Amino acid sequence: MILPPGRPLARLLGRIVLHGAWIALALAAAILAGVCIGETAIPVGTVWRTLANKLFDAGHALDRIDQGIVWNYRLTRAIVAACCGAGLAVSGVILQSLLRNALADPYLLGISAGASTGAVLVTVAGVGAGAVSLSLGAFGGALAAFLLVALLARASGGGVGPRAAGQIVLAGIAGSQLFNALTAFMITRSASAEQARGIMFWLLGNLSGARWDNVGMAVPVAVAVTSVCLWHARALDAFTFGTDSATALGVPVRRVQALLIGCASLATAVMVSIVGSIGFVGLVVPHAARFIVGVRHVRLIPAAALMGAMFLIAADVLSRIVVKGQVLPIGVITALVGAPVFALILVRRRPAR
Amino acid sequence: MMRPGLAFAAAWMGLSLPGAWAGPTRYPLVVENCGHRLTFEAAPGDAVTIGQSATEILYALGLGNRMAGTALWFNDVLPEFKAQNDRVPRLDNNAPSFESVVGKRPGLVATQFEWMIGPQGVVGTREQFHELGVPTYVMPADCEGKNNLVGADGTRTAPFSTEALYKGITQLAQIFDQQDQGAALVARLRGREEAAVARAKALNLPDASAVFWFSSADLDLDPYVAGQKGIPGYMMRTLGLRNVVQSDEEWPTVGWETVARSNPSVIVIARMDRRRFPADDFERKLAFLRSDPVTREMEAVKRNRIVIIDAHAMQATIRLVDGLEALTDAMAKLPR
Amino acid sequence: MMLAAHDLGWSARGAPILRGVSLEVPEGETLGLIGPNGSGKSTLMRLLCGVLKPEAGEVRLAGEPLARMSRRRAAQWLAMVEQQAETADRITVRDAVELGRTPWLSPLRPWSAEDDAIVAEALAVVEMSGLAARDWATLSGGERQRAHIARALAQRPRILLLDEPTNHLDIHHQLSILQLVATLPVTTVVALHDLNQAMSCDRLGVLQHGRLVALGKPQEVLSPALLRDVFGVRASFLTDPADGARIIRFHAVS
Repeated sequence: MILPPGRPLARLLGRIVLHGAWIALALAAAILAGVCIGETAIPVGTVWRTLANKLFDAGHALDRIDQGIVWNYRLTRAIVAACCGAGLAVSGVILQSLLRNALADPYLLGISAGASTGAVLVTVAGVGAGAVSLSLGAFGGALAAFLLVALLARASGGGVGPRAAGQIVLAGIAGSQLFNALTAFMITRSASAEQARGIMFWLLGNLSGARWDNVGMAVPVAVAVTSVCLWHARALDAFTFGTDSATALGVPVRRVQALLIGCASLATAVMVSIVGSIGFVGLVVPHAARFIVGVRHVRLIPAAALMGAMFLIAADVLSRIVVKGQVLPIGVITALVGAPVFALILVRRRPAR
Repeated sequence: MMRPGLAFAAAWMGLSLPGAWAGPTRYPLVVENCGHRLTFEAAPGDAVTIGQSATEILYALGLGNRMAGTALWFNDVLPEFKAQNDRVPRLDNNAPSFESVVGKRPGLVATQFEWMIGPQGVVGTREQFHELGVPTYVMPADCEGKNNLVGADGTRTAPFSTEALYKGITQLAQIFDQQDQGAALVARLRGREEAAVARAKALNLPDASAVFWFSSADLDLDPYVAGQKGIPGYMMRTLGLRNVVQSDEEWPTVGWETVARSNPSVIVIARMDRRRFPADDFERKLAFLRSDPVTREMEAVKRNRIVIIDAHAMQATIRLVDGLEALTDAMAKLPR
Repeated sequence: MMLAAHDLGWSARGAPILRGVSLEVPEGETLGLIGPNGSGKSTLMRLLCGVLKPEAGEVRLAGEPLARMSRRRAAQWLAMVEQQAETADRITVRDAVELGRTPWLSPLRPWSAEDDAIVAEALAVVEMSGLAARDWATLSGGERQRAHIARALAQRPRILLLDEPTNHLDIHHQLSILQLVATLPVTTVVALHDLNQAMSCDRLGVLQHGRLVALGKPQEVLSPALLRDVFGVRASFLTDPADGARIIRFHAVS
């Protein structure tokens, strides 16, 4: 009973269009909510008219500051938040699947530690003398840390097999410790309290600097990484019973691991360099998504991306309105909301045995 | 917010210490300082100062020859103190180590900040020094009415007033038996402050407001701005400017959205020698204000009502009065 | 030849595990691999299916070197049931069996009704149809083993490699799985522990210290001398009066 191959393909395309449409709608709604709610009260009408002006040249007369805030601060911020949430959540899914470790998250590979070292190098130690921005330093540090961890994992015999996953986790821990020590060293060597504080704030995540140039960076990275991972959804499924089993199922394990871990690292490095390190998204959202749509990656990846995006937009909105006139670090909100949710999932999905 | 604040400041000044005791100090002297009682049998020698404010106050009292070390420098010493400063060893540009301070066998360690010597002191706790028989003095401006265990740069429980600075000068002068110099210094600073306030009041500006931008971790990020109760908050309040920032923290981060929509009449930006963040450079701050799509629409930016004040004049130092005068000059240029 | 190994060698941390193993399996044959613990059975299985890359020698599938085939094409030829493959994921039996379709699918060749039919058939073959919706974590060891075999069958391989497939099974399922393997129209290599079960293979290969020391018909290979030299047991041969099959009874060498 062989069916013509055209029909499942057509059905697949139909599904992509259908699901893509409602995912896009949900995302747009979340972004709109992020634009409407902010530190100060801007009427929804002003938001609408600003979007109409910018998108369709509607020509409404508006206060230029209000319009600037909506278009240049809030919209960019919501889009960047969505991209970071999606990127971190998808990275979390990838790492948890490939490393067969439920505790894996994008910062496991030393990326966050490396990013903070890079940021501290630029700010406290003055590398680049003001020409290099905090975010560029963070990006450099993140990439350097990941390369070091990858080399270390390779050198420690991280071949194919279940041991490889363990080795990269160990290498990640070693790398994180090394970079954290470097950061601490530089801070104690040359910082005063005021500077250390600027870095602390950044380490807890900060979306306030998100502008259109960041959008131009975050959107392609988030879309590309999600697409690449979605393309490999079946290969990721094949890791269910470990790397040997994946090999036997026809997955080129090394290539897939290298490609997807590389993708996750790149996404994390880019996101960390834009918004600082926002904890818990990459750990909790994948578990929450699995809880809702199951473990099959073809559903899990889009679900995690969407949930990550919405979670971070919501956390960002909360961070702006919890304390009036002041913005809390978003990492505080994600941890405060994420930790109980995580606990709930852990209890609910306790094995039936 | 403005009227109760003013009333409070007025009450504070009314209750203030007698400005000047002339004549020699009588020993043994007992001084209450930030929850610690210090007893001096004689004027101490070999003093070590941590924090440029404390250092320059001792120089202003002419005590350079009784000092054994300085630490924690933010910018160059004032030119008039250069000769004194050249004779005093500099222990460290930043936080000195406990042993390097104790090694000087100091008769007194005076610190500008509790985060240097205090409950969570980088150098040590006061008890650590007192156990070795080394008395410590914390500038009252940093401990009275301020909780340094809350908030990144501490949180003021009561608004700052220059009286705390004058009290510190007076007490140090008393400890070192330099009461005449102390009284003269306080009288000089107080006179300039009163003159500046009188000038500002005479302008009679309707609802003039301001924001103090110290720096930012990165240019696009939320800026560090002055809160209500800190030193810039005091400057604005006494001169009759409304601080658009509501927070009580010393230097809270507040979004540009909030700052821009509150549209202050004046923007004050800090000039400093530090170059750790891009925004430390006041030229970069100016460039940001004029190019960001939102801030460039602000009234104060469009009309170039941006005042550049030395960062040290925004702290509890003898340079604070320079800041008051600069701000008054800027107010004089505002439209009535 | 369907599957051929030529002079295979492999070592771990300098210690040789397998040396100079050559064998050929014609289409449709069931080849049994036996040998004491640590003789290299599992390593040979992993080399044959390409999970391990041989340090010396090569494996050929229908004349084509395995090393030169893409993993995907190799998996369309070869399926492997490992000894211990576990997961902490919350999956159902059907999810696990559906994984067998991986080498046949791609983003442009999505799941179809044909795949559903193959999965249903594989489940039926191992008598797991009724358990398809069961959570993996609730299965017994034997049920998991049968599900793994179903996954391998769903792969529709020409060659099936089974590493001690009867390990966790009760006697009923041991026999039914072996019977099933014998009737499958595929070439099979099966590593076995139970020498009596090995008797039903078409041919047997015997591994000792990483070398293939015997290869041939079960009756010829399982001689008292070999059983003593390789397994360290004394054996007596009985005949089952029910069907005339030969049964080995073991005694410790005193």
